[in-house]
Amino acid sequence: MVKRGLTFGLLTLLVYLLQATVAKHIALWNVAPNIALAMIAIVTVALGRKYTFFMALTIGYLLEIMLPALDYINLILLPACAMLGALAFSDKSERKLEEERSMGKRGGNLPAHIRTLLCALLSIAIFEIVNLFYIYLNGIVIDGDQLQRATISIVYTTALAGVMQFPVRWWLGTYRLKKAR
Amino acid sequence: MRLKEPKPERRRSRNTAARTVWKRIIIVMAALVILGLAGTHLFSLITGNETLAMPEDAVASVLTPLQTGFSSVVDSVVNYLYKLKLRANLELAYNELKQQNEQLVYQAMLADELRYKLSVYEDLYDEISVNESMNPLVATVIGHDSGNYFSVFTINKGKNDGVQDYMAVTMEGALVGYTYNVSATKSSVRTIIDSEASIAALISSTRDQGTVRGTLGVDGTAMCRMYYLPDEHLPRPGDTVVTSGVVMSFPKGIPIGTVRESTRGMESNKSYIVVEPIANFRHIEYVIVLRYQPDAEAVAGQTSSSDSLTFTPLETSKPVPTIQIGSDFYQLAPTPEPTATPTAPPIDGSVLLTSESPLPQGTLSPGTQSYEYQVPSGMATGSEYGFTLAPTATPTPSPPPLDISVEED
Repeated sequence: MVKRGLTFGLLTLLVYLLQATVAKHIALWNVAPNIALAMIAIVTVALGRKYTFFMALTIGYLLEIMLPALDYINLILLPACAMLGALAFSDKSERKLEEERSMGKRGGNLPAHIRTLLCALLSIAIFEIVNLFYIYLNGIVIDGDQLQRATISIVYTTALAGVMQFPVRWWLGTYRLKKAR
Repeated sequence: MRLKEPKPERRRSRNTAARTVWKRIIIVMAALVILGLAGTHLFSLITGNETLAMPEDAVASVLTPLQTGFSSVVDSVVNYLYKLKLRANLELAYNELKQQNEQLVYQAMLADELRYKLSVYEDLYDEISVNESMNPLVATVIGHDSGNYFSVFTINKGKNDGVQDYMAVTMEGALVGYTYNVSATKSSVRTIIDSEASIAALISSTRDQGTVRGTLGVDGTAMCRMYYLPDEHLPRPGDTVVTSGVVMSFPKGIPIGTVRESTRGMESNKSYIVVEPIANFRHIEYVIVLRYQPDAEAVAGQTSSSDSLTFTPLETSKPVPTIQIGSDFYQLAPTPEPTATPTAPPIDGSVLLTSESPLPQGTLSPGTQSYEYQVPSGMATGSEYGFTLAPTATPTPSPPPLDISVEED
C-alpha cells in the first residue's frame, strides 16, 4: 500500500509538472493537449475512482494555486470532469455487476484500453464544453475557429491517453496483476 | 460451547482489520487535507483573507523550486530538440541551396555553352551572309587526325550536300584548308598547316603571288611558308596573305595569314617567308565549306565560246592549273604583263574581275570572272591585317540561294 501510495503520489506530481511545463511544447496547431485529464483517465481505469478523486483534486489544486488562469476553473472543473469520466468508465463494483446480471444484462466491463480512451474523451469533451460555455458567457462569440481548437484538443488528448496508457499502466503494475491471476 | 479460534488465525484477522482501519484513516486524512487545502483556497479567494492563503503559499513554496528544476530540465530538453530540428532544417536548407546552386551552375555552364554556340552561329551566319555567292555550307567537324605531322579533320558534309574535292574551307573569316577525299556523307579537310597542303596565295599589299605550304611536317609548328615569290619585293611582317583564286575552285581573297618573318632578303638560301595562319586550328568545331563554282549561265553572255579558259583542279594536294581552251566560263583576253604594283579596280559588289589583277605567271587569263571572298566584319578582316579586297567593276551575278544547314546538338 505504501509503495502504491508513493507511486501514485509521484505520478500525481509528475502529471502536474508535465501539464505545467511540457504541454505547451507539444502543442499541435497551437493547441496544447490536456495531459492532466489524459493521465487521470488512465488512472481512473487502472486504479479506480478513489485514486481518480485524489489525483484530480490534487492536480486541480496545484494548477489552481500555481497557474491561476481563471479562478475556480481548475480546482472545480478538473475534478468534476474526472469524476464524471470515472462514473462512466471506471471498473464497476461487484454489486453493480451483480445488479446487471440480475437484470439479464451481460454484466461486465469493456476492455480497459477502450474504456481509457472513452474516459479521456468524455472528460476532455466536458472540460472543453464548459470552457467554451464560460467564454461565451463572457461575451465572446463562439465561431468555427474556437470549435476547431476544441475539437483538436479533444482528439489530441484522447490520442495522448491512448498512447500513454501502456507505459503508465505498466508502471502502476496493472499488467503484472493481470498476469498473476 | 463456543469453540475458540486458533491463535495465528485470530492474530491475522486482527492485523487485517487494523490495516484496513489504518488504511481508511489515511485515506480520510488525505482527503481531508486535500479538501481542506482546496477549501481554504476557495475561502481565501472569496473572502480575500490572507491568513487563509497561508496553506497554499506553503504548498507553492515547496512546489516552486521543484517546478523550477523540472521546468529547466524540460526547457533544456526542448531547446536541445529545437536545436536538432533547427539543425535538420538548416541541413535541409543547405542541401536544397546546394542543389539549387549546382543546378544554377549547370544552367550557367549551359548558358555559356549556348552563348558560345550562338556567337559561333552568328559568326557563321555573318560569314555566310556576306559570301552568299560562294554557296557556303556550314559543316561540323566530326573527327580530327591525332598525328603530329599531318593536320586533317573530317566534316559531316559530303557529295550529297554538294561538296567536292578542293573546295575552300573557312572559319571565322580565314582559310582553314580544303576538302579532299569527299564521300557521300563526309569529307576530309586538309588544313593549310599540313605539309601536304599547297595553296596559291598572294601578298595583299604587293599582289605578289606565290604558294603557301604548311610546316607541321617540316618543323612541327602550326605555321605556313610562302614560296615562289618574286624577287622584286620583300614582304613586310604584318602583310596579309590571301588566296589568289588561282587553281582549285578557291575564291579569291580568303585571308590565310600574316607575314611573320621575312628574312628572305638577308639569307640568300632562304626561298620562303613565314606566314602565321589566322585560323585557330586548336578550336575547330564548325567550318564553312565554300562550294564555289562559277555560274556558267551568269557569265555566259560575257564569255567567248572559243577563247575562254577553264580551271580543272588536279587530284593532288599541290594543285597545278590546267588551262583549257574553249571553255564557256571564262573570257580569253591577252595576258597582261605583271606589274610591280597591283592596280586596284573600283569596288562593285562582291564580284571581282580578275583580269585587273596582275598575274605574273599568266595562269589565269584576263577576263576570267570569279567571286571574291568577303571577310565578315569583326573577324579576320582585311583592315585588321592590312589588306583591301580586290574590287571589280562588273555587275554582280545573282548568287545561288543561301544554303545554311547547321547541325543541331
